[in-house]
Amino acid sequence: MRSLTELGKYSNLLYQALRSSTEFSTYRKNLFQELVKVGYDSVPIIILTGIFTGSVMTLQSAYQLESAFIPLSTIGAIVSESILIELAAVISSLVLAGKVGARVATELGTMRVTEQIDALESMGFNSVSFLVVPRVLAGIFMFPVLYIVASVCGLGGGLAAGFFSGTVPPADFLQGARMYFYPWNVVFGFVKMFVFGFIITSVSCYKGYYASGGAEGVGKSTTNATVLSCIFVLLADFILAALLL
Amino acid sequence: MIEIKNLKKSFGDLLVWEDVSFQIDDGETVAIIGRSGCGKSVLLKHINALLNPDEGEVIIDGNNIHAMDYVDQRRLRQKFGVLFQGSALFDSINTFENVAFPLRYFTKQSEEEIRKNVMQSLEYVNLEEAADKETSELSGGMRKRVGLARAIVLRPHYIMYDEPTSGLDPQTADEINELINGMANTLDITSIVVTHDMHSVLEVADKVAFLNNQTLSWFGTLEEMKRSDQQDLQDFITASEYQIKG
Amino acid sequence: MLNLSNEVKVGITVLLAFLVAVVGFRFMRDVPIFRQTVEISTTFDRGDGISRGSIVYVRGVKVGSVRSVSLTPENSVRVVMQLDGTTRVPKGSVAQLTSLGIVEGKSIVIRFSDSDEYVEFGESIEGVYVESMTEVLGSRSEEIAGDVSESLSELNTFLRQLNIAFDDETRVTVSETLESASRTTKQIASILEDKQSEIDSAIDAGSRMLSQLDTLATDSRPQIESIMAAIEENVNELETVRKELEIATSNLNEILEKINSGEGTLGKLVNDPALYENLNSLTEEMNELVKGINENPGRYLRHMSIIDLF
Repeated sequence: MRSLTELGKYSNLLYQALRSSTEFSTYRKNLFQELVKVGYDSVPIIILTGIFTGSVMTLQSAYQLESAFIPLSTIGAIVSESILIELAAVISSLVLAGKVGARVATELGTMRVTEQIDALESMGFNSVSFLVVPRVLAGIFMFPVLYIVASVCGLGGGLAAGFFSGTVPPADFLQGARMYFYPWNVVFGFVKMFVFGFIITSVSCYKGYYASGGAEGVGKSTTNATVLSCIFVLLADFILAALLL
Repeated sequence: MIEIKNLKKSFGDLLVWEDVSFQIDDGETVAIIGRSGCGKSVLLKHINALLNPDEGEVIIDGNNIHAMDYVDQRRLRQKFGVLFQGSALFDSINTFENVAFPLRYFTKQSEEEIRKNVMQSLEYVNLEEAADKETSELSGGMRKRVGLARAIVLRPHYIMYDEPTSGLDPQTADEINELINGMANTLDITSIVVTHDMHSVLEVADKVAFLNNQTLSWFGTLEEMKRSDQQDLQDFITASEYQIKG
Repeated sequence: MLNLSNEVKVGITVLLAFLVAVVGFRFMRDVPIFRQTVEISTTFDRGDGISRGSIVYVRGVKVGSVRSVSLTPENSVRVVMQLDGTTRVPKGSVAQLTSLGIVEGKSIVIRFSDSDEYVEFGESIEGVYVESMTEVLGSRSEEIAGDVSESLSELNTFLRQLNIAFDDETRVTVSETLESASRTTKQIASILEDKQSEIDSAIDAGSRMLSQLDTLATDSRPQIESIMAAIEENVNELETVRKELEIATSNLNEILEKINSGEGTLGKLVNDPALYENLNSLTEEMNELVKGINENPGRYLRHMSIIDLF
């Protein structure tokens, strides 16, 4: 019952956001600010995540597939496919759920409990349009961009790890990676990140926007936002895989 | 003119108040008093439709604000300036920008005009020197004054104060009371003050609305209040006076 | 760090990501990023296993990749290859669609011709589809399967015809034949049963006789052996006789030859017809003489006194 109420409130918030998404002049400035915070500021952590994901994948695949009968290019194929389809999107999203989701929930939660949202409303602002829309849009728009960063860094990290550890020569790695490179995988990755970006920002906005109970309440909202974002990202990952693969 | 008719509000099973009706005429300053948690701030939020009532209506200059669509509601809200309890300053921008905030979004003023209007508002609250300070550097009293400057920058018809003097030292509280009076007189603003500070009520109010026992238990002018024989009201005033006298 | 506006930061991020995406995409699709490329096409009867991104080799060296695979209106498969700008393909070269290993995917191998002219951008070369081992096996098994099913259908038809041929009448005949055969067999069996004892005694007698013979043979062994030895001796003697006879025969032959060829007295005698004539007339005359003597012995006896002779 409680979760149904929550779903209803969440849907209502999204409906308001959708309805007020036409008021571009209200959130234009915030949108760019959010694009920077979600995208530009997340690039370093995503680069780091990507490189480590790729290199760990390569080393572990090389360790697991240590057999004379398996060509080394297989490792490249496994690493590149895993990164493009799954890891670049999901690991990045889990990291971003912590970084972006927590920030959004805290920002909005603080604004809620210090009456800044009320202040906006009482000035005549559409607070949803002003606060929620730019954040969700930034998520939808920037997550696919971050997917590019994560993928490239992941493949580069995998290639480099294979080379420096001496397990997989770059030529073999690339051969395998190219042999199983299907554009659909990339499209799928983009779709995933688009959905994940929406989930993380909208869930965090919802949790922050309806925060209550002072500093403690904001903390609770932030925790809930991060946990729920992760859960829904994993759930959406499963549903997308079932639908699109 | 604001007419409040038969307002009722409850959160879930919890009744806040019901059968609340009174009228605020232009140029008046009305104080809404009552014990903590009696729903004074909730009533304030009904006046500019931040909250919707279960029953009844609020009519502002002939328009039922709760029956309007969201766009018109927001336009009507711009007739109100609100000073929140915690000032509700936007902490991501500095003092000047806080005051300039409504101007930037709701007017097409040039940067120069904005500067002029902002400095004028800050002058009303005697804070010109704090224009470039970050909001985190401001003291409680200064925050209230910046909040007030922001509330009046669009030259509203009505201004609502939510606990304007709470958490301030008596001297600063007096300064705020003076400002409230100043606003009412110089800018010809109708004011609604939510407070439990009887000292403030005696300083600024023309009329008093007393919320008690989940309803509006008393409404009248300041003079009538002093002569009222309602026990609850007298108890409330007396308790406050003890507080004031220490 | 420069103090950039948010718009600029967003712009930089998006632009860089877009560039990286395009370059990375081309890199992964193995489209040379900065070099120029040459596109040539070829057609195969079939395009199993080939797809966008498949590698194109020349003498084992990778020179490019497949850009697109499509079906032509003529029901063949058109494959467009993108080769490094530095690769020049002579006219008349042949593209083979082949697999390099059992597990590897399909790829295209271009076999260069000796021509001095080169294929231009967008032109086409001949394509040959080379079946892989597994495919050969596959197609063979298909053939076999075809044969089997053909045979089965033939068998089916035969059975059906047989069924038709076996109308009720025939069936009755066949069953009657079988019945009489079974009857005969039974009779034979009963006869055999009746004569069982006789057969047994006959077999007994036979076996007894054989054993007696055997004993006899064992008892007379030395005699038989001496007889055999005597026979052997005789045979040897016979052999000597035969040899002498042979010699005699050859001598005789010699003589006869000589006679034949008119050598010696007898030869002349035999070979001279005049002599024969003389002898003949002489014989006649002698006959007449004998006759005359018989009729009138005195006439001749006066002149001769045969008795005196003795």
